[in-house]
Amino acid sequence: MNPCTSFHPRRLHRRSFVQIGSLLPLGIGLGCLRETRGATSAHRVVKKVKSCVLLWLDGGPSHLEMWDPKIDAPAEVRGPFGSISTAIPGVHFSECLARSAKLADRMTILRSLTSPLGEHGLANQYLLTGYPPSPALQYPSMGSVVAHHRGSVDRAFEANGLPPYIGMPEARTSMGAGFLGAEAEPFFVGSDPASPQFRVRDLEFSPGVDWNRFDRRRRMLAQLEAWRAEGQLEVGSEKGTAFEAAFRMVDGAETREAFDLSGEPDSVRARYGPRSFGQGCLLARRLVEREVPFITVVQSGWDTHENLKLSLRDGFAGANVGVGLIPTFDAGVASLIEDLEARGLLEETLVIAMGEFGRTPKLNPRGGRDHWPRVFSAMLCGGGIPRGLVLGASDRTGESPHERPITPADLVRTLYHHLGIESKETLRTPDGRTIAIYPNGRDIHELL
Amino acid sequence: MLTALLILILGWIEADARATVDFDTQVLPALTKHGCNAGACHGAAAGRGQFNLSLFGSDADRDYEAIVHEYAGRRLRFSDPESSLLLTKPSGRVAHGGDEIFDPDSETAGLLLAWIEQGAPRGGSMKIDRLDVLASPVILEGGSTGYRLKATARMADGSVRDVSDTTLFTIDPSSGLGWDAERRFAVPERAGRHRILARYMNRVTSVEMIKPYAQNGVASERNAGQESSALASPGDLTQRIDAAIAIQLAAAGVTPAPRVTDLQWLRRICLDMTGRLPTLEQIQAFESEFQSAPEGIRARWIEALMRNDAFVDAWSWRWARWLQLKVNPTETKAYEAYVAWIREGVASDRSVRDMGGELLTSSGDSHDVGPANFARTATDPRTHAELIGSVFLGTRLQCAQCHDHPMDRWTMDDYHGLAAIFAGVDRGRHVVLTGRGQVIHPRTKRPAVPRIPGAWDVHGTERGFKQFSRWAIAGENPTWARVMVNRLWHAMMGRGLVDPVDDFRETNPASHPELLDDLATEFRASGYRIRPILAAIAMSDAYARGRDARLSDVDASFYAQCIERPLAPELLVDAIHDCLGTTAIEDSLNGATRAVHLLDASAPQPTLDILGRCVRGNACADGAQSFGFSQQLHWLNGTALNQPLESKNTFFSQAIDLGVPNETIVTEGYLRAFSRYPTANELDTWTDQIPLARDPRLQWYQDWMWSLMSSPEFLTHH
Repeated sequence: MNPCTSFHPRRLHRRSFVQIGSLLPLGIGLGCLRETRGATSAHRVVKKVKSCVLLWLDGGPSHLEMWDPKIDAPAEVRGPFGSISTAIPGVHFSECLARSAKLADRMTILRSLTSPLGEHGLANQYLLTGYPPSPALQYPSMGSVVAHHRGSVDRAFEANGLPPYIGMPEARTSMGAGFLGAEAEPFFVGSDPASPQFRVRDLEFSPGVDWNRFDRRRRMLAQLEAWRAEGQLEVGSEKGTAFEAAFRMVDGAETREAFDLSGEPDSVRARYGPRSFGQGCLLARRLVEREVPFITVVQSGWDTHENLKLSLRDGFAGANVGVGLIPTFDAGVASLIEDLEARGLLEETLVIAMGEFGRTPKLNPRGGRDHWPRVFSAMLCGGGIPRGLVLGASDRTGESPHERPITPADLVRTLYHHLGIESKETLRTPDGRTIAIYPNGRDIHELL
Repeated sequence: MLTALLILILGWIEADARATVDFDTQVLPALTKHGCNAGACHGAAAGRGQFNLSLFGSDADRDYEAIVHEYAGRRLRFSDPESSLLLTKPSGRVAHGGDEIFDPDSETAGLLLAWIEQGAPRGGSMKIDRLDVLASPVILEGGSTGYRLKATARMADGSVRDVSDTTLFTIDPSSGLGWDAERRFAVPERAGRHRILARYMNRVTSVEMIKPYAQNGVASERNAGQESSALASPGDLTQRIDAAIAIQLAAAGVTPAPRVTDLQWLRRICLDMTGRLPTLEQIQAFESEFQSAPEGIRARWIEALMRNDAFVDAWSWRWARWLQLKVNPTETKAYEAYVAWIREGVASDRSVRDMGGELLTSSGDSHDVGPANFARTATDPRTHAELIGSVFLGTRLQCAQCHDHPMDRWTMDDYHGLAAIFAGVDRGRHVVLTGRGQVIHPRTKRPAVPRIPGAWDVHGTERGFKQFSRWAIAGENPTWARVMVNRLWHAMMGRGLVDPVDDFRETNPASHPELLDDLATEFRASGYRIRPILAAIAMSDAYARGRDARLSDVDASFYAQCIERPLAPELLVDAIHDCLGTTAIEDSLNGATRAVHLLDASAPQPTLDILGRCVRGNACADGAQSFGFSQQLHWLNGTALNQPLESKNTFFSQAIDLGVPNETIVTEGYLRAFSRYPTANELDTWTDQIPLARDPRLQWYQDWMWSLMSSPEFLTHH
């Protein structure tokens, strides 16, 4: 229960005695409005963001090998790769991000994210929910909050037959609905989009079932529902069939088509890269085109404790063309941004690339880097995010924030703002507590 | 308008002339009342704007320090008290992140000003023993009832004071309760149960009001608090259950739903006692017994079902949930020992008190000593304390790890003190309850004093865990008895008297407090055995209620009708096979034949996991939730239901091969899935559609059974 809700409603002051009786029904729940009112009133009105694509770099990507290279630092800090200039004058990325570098003038790079949490499970909760982990409550991830929000506000999901929060390929911890429960859980496709056998889990009929039988099942169930509604039976009077969402999804040719990558020209598929992540980005683009509110593409393997050359660039020993984590990421993210822009969708699509923390400034003896949450980077693009901005800076060795420290809570509340959620909006836990959607932090005003 | 005037007159209280202002009992409560030290403001762990107060003023010493001395003393200005930041910020005269909180002319501002003018004295430290809140009904114009709230504090020195002015009353904004904070006047607008939370110093409590439903148009206004104390009905436990429920139903002006049909009752009791749908044989036996000897048939069936092997399966599964059973997957022997101990306890209806004692105090080789595995469920002293809080106290202690529990009486000392008791536990294969080990109290940065939460610091020669066990389980009025009967009630009725069942707290009282006490007393009197309690609940009218569409607005906590709930995934998977006459194919259930045998919910099981099996830490403490997207799709296209439907062993596949007529098969389908006969209309509608040729006919039945089993009548416990 929110203690704020018992504040005196502002207009219910002693001066206005006479109105009290008539105001009673309204005289509740207004107290918390004032908390962040100042912050919201200053926000610019921008084109409405319809979709968010989160590219989740699971394991913690090295800021030093991505968006925050330290060209002049000693070799054990600089790492194995060089850097390249980008479309933002004076700003360098790692040389492995060649395609991203050309698009840097569309992006905002945050170089001063900072968090105290250096363990994967705790850190990914913080980044994905905006709330530091609590033993008392499992907070919902951003995707679940957006799904819940759209479900209750826009019913966007009913328009296209697709779930409001789709992830690929498989779920990672902390990406779920937490206390919001089943209806806000992500729908993970459960299959590798790069595989020729790619099938969205349980979207295809069970063997032996065809359209006729599917329709018959649906009709039969509708008949049972109709009898119930007639009041022949008192059971299950609470709500309609529990399968409407699934029926719509299986039913709609468009929804199947949304997941059908075979329709994409080979050249396009190649441009996104052959791996699961790249094809996931392509799938994400197709879902953005269908206005799915939140899409998460997971790239695994970023917990690079050893041999950065192999894991980050080459992918396998002796590779001629690098197919490691960074080139794979680079192809996927760059193609996604290019395509969204070409389709005029970039302004209404927020693209986020981040992981749970950065990596140690000094290489370890195995040529890798270990967990480092004290400073790390993230990339934002589209959805009203400023173009060509580098916000914050780490110090000379990428060890600590040098200026403008930003917490994950700051980031998440700012992202929520871009996604059309207002600062005063709240969620309710099953046991009746009121929880602010915006985590306790400061808005990143440079992004608003 | 007349209403407004009435409230106005009732609510008018003139402020007293100011005497010496006391910090603990006046200043802090005033800050609390205005939300200054709430979790969203300065009470946050990190404070706000560099000003950090303890959550809801739970630590007066620290708050005094923060207000008077920190920030170089600039929060108070004795030379010009009115310009103190403590006043200028919340009254909006200086920019304040939280905007204007109170008017410069308000009583609160006057109080703070007087306190600063007096030199901001700390005053004597004052402790509060208890906070009581009374809601006095006042009949308003038009015949509806409003409530005046009065808060009384009993202080440690024995004095009793009216603290209504400085008590923070909190209303759930969605509760439909009109609330005039200034006059502390509540008018329930929506029918049903209403609660207001009251907070003064470090105490919270709640007060309840029931506004009758206008059902049948003859509702009379009553105050539930007055009525429920009249519960002194004689008779056996079953009669007392129904009396307790009836009193509140009367207060709420609700006529409950009629009883379900006998076959629906049979379905319900079979699901509850054995976790299984009634078989065709059971249905037939029940019906014929009903013809021959209807007298006492329900009692006989309850007794018989409790002797069924499936009773041990179902209730061992429930025990595993209660204990949050989790065993290292590589230690099969530990799992087997633990499960064998649970099953033995259920099969012999052992004293739950004895079982609880063994869980808390067992040591030794966990591969032999089943209950020793309980200590291994936790990973460290703090999770151990939380586990014990949940299992034995039915309480979520977690909040008290970082600050005194804002919604309950638990303090950080309680939390870390309980953890300290279990700090010396060696949680390896050989569980050793050593006296060694410490837990550092984050506030004092010193080892926490071992403590029985809310009671006493551990002293004497007896080990802490023994003292705890004696206090929680074997004592005069042990929490464990109330927690356990509440779980039994929840399992049978679909809702705990305290709900959720692991959330006993001062601010979440039982819907029927006397009934909970009565059940606990009876439980102790019957030797802490589960079965007599289950039987008494099962025999009640409350248990046998059907559903009634007219009651859809009535709060479930009145038990006016049956609470419909989804079958837990384990029961659902077993019900699929029971319904179709199939068995789980090899390895589809981790080698088990029935899902209810899988007691460790942390061991991955694809079907159960996709169907939403409750894994600890998620929002499904009650075991089952409605189908989300992945579950729906899996039910539609996945293997859980489709694979058994395709089996040659389904009852309909075999019936087709035996030449059984359609009327018989359809009837059997209804009995198997719904435990009832089809209506004539249903029977005709279906049999008219069935193709003649064998394969199309088989497919028709597959599709038809799919639809029956996708209907809430199959998917829910009702």
